[in-house]
Amino acid sequence: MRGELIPPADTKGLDPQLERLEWQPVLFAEQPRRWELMKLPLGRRSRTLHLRVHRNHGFESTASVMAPFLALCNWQAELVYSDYDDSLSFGVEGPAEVEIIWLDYSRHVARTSATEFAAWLRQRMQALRQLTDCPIILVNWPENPVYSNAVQEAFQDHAIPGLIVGRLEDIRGRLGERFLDERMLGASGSRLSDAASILIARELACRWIPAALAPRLKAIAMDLDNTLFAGVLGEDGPEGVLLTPEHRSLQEYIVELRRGGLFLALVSRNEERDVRELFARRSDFPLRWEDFSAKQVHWQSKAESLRQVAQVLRIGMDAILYLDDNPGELASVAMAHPDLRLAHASGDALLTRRVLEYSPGMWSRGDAGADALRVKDLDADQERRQIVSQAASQADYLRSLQVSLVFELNHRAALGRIHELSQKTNQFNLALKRFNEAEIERRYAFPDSRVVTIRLADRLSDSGIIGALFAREEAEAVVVEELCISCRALGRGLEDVMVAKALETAWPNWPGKGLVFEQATGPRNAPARHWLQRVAGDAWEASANRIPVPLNFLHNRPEYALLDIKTERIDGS
Amino acid sequence: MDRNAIQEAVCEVLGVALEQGRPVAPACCREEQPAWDSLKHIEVIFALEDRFKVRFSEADMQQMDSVGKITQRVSELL
Repeated sequence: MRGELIPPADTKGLDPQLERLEWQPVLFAEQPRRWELMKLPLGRRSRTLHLRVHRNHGFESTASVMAPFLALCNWQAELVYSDYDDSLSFGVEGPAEVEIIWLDYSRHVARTSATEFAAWLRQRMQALRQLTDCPIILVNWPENPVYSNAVQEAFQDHAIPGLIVGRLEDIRGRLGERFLDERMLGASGSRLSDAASILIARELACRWIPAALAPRLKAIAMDLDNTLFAGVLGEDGPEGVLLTPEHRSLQEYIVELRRGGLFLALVSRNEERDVRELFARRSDFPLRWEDFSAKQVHWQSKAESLRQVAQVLRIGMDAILYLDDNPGELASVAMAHPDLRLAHASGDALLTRRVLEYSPGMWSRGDAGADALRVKDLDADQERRQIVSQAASQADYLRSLQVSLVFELNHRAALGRIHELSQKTNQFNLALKRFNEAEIERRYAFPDSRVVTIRLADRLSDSGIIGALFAREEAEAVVVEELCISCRALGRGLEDVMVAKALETAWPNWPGKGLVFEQATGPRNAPARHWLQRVAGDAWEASANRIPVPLNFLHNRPEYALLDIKTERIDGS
Repeated sequence: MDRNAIQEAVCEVLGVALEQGRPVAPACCREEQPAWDSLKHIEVIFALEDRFKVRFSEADMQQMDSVGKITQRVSELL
C-alpha cells in the first residue's frame, strides 16, 4: 500500500489527510503494533489538546501510542497527570479540555463491594463535574466484570452531563490473559500489556475524545466497484462481481450504521440502470438500493457528485466520510473539498470495516435516536417537497402536513441532543456559541435563564428535537443568547412560530421588557442572520452583536391556528 | 539476524523512542540520555519486544540500559 496513495505532485503537501491514508493498515490493523505506530511520520499538527489524567496507575505507555491516532484529526496531546491517587482527590491543576479517569480498580476491589465502589465513583464524578465543565471520559477498568458492570449501571441514567463511560469489555475479551502484563507493574506502575495499551489508545483517540469534543459525522458516501464488492460492475456484470465474506461483513456493518442514524450515499461512475439491476439481482447483498439516501450514479466528477450529496442531505462537507478504493479519486475530491473526510477502501474489506469502525467522528455514545430520526425524516422529504409544489398557499401546505410542535422547558433528558444542536455548524445557529453539556445544565439552575427545546413532527415523519433556544432575562430585555434549528426543519416556513412559541414557553407571562437576539457571522449561518434581519426590520444592523426585535413578533398569527402546538414545562432545574 | 544487524535495529528503535530523528550511536547508554527515563524505558521495552518478537524478563528490563546490553540480550533470545 505504501506508495500507492501518494497523491500527484501538485497536491502533495496540500492535504496531509491524503498522506495519512497510507497509515490505515497500521492504525486499523486488528492489533496495531507499537513499533509500526512509532515509525509513522506524524509531522506538524494544527491543534494541541490539553488532557488531564486523574489516575492510580501509569498512563504513559498508552499516551505514547495515542499520538498517531490523534493525528488523524490533526491533533496532538499535551497531558497533565495527577499523582497515583486511589481516592480521586482531583488536586491536579493545569489547562484541560478533557478529563480522563484512569483507574485500575484492583485495590478498591480488595476493600469495597462492587455496589459501594460504583456509588463512590459516581459521587467522585459528580464532584469533578462541580469543578469543571470539560467533558469527562471514565475508562471503565474491565478486569472484574462485577465491578465494571456495576460502574456501567451506576452511570446509565446519564445524569452527569458530558460524561462518557468508556467500555473495555471487548478488548478484555479479545486479549484474554494478554490484557494484563504483571511484569510491567514495578517498572511502569501499570499492569496493562502493550497490546491492551495500544487498543485502549485507539478507543480514546479515535472514538471517545472525538465524541467528547466534536459533532458526529452524519454520512458515509461510498464508491461501488472494488469497494462494496470485489470486481468491476461494468466488466464483470451483476452476477460476476464477488461478495466475499469480508465484503459481506463490510456491507453488514454499513447497514448497521444506517440503522444507527448515518446517511448512506452512493457515488459511482457507472450507468444507473446497471447499478439498479445489480442491487435488484444480488439478493445476497446486505445493502439494498433503497438504503442510500442520496445516489449519484453517472459519469460526472466525483467532486461534483459529493457536492450534490451534501446538498441533498443538507449537511456540510465536513460531516461526510468518503470511501473509495481509487487513490486518484480520493486525491481529486480532497482538492475540491478540503473539509471532506477520506477513507481508502482496501483490498482487505475487513480492514476497510475497521477503518469505518474507528474513523474519528463515526462512534456514537449510544443515543442514536436523534440520528435515526434524521434518516427517516430525509426519506419523507421528497414527499414533503411534492406537497409544497402542489399546495396553493402556505396555509394549505401546513394543513396538509398536519404539523405538530412541542416545546419543552429545561428538558434535562434532552441534554445530549441540545448539546449536539449547539455544536453543529449548520445554517441556523444564530450566535455560534458552542455550549457543552455541563454549561447547558448550569443554565437550568440559573433562575433568569431558560433553555427551550422544540420538537417537530408531521404526518410524514417525526423529526424529533430539531431546535433549541437559550435565553436570559436581563434588566432591560429578554436576551436570546443562542438559537439553533436543524436544517431538516427549515424550508417549511415554521421559523417564526417556533421562536415565538419557544419564548412563550420560557416566559408565559412576558416580563414587560424588550426582546434582543444575539448574533454572530459565521461561514454558513447566513440563513439564520437573514431570518433575524427580516424579523428585526429597521433595527437590523449587520455588524451589531445584539439586535432588538419588535415585541409584535411574539403575537399570535392566524396560520398558527393550523398547527398542533403543545407546551410542556418539564423544568429540569 | 547477525549481531551487527541487531545492533543497527536497536539503534533505530532507540532513536525513534527517544525522538532523536536518527538512530542513536552504538555507544548510547541510559545514564547519558536524560530522555531515557523509567517511563520511556517501558516504551523502549515494548518497542523492542515488538520489533524482534521476543519477550524480556523483569531482570532483563532492569539490566538493559545500553545499546550494547540490549544487543547482547536480543542476540541470546533470537
